[in-house]
Amino acid sequence: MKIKKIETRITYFIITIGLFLLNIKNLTLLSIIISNILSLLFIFLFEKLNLSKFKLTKFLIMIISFIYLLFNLNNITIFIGDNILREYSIIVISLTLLFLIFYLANKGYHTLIKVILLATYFIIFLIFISFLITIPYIDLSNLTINIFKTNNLFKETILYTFNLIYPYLLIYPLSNTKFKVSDFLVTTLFQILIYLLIISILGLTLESIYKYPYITIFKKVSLFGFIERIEIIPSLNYLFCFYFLLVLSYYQILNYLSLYIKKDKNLNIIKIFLFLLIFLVSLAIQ
Amino acid sequence: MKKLLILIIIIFITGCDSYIELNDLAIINTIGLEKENNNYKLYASVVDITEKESLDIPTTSYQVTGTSLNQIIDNLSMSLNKKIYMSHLNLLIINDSIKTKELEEIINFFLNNNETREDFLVVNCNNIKDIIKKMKFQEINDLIENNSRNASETIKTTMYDVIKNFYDKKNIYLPSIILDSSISLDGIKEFKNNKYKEIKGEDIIYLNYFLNKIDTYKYSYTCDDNKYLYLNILESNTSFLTKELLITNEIKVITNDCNYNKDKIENIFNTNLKTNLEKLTNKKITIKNTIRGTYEN
Repeated sequence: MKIKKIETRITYFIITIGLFLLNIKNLTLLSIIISNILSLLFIFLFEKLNLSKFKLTKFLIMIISFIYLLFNLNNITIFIGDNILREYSIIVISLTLLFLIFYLANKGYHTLIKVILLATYFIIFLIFISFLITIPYIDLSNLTINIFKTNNLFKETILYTFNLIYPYLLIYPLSNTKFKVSDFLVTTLFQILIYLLIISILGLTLESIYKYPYITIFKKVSLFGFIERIEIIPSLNYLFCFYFLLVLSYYQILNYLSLYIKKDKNLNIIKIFLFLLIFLVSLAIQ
Repeated sequence: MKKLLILIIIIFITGCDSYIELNDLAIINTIGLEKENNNYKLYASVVDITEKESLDIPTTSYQVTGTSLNQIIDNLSMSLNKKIYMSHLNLLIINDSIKTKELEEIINFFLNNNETREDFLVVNCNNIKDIIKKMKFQEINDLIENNSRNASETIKTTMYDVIKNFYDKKNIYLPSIILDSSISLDGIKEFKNNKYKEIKGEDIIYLNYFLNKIDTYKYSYTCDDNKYLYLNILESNTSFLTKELLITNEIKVITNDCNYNKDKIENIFNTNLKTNLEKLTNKKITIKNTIRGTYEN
């Protein structure tokens, strides 16, 4: 079955927002804007030169996916341990997560995209809900200070540009869909909106102090005076975005390996080896 | 193979492993902290779940000492033989012994503790032990809530405000409470440059204007013997968005014995407000009022 263009675009949106939420603590408005411009330039260049056809590009994407999978598995495990499963050990969380990642990735690209599409409706609904319920907590005086203020613009921008290029490399070369600037602008707009929402509620100083600022703003919310502790809404948002990012990264690795390993038996051995390697390395990082 | 995989996943995702009985939790609703000879003294009001028949929330107070906050919490957990549960923390009481260094430790403790939320009130009191023993957190919270809402004679400060002001290097304002025969407010304490300073009386109202925390309050002016102008400030907003300080008030005239017209009332109110606010800021102050009520007799 062919993958629709909209499905590719939605997947791109979800993965970008996921990486944005992961990096939000270290970002400023200026670094978000510059990183978006730089990554757009890179994508244009990538498309113009048709780099995705080269073997070296495919190999590099596989290596980047592997690094992202290792480091982000560590990040998401810590996130789950901090916010959802507080009583569980890191090993149990990362092992369960790895099983779920391997399960979905082995189902194939089409199934994966369909699952992401389903989850996207839910995620977009959650983002809109989050905007609605946090509006009363916006303090405009937080925006009167210099919101472009930054500590290390170069470092922030370089790291985040890399994070913005990655979803493109992960999704578009696989799906044969032509990249559209409008998709990019929608994700940029969402990044800026979420960032401004957080800054207007927490202020610049607190935004850089809290580990998960997007979740922290929900800790302040109390609906009708009795519905509280709705941090689970943004937590789910984080969880889905991170999970799909990891699944797609793993799928990229499998996809590259299947180009060279034709026998199913050998590929299965490689999969088991990968599973153990990722699990052990992610534990070592922790 | 698939069935085995599903079985392994099911074993791992069961939620019973982390299950804790309610009896094994020490639910803390109030914490009092003071520092004495380089040691922290922590007073905690813990919900007593053994008393089931009472309509009120029965609590027992405990006292522990230690060199750091984490150590005290561990000590408390050990002495109670229960897991400390601070999700329902509603009040933190500190006294003048808590200075910048201690405040930073307290803030770090709560920032690193994902269980607690930073929406609980923080108050200053120099008699923490008695307050924790004799009073319920609800009475103190209600006192501050009602006072800030109806008279603007205190400042409702949550842990979140303390964290924000601490890192923004701004002054921290804490409601001050005293316990005589009953509990009452004793102005506010301003924490600035590692020192506490008392602010009392009408100054709190003007400070509230400056912090944009005015809810409602009453203003009275004596024009002649036994003749009063009595105003109810229903709503107020202080805007910092422009270079000047823009204050908008919605005022209702309750008593106008002096027979002043609208302009005169506005003039009296604005002059008083401006004079007091000029002590707090160098900015140009603009006041816009909407006055309604019986001002034309």
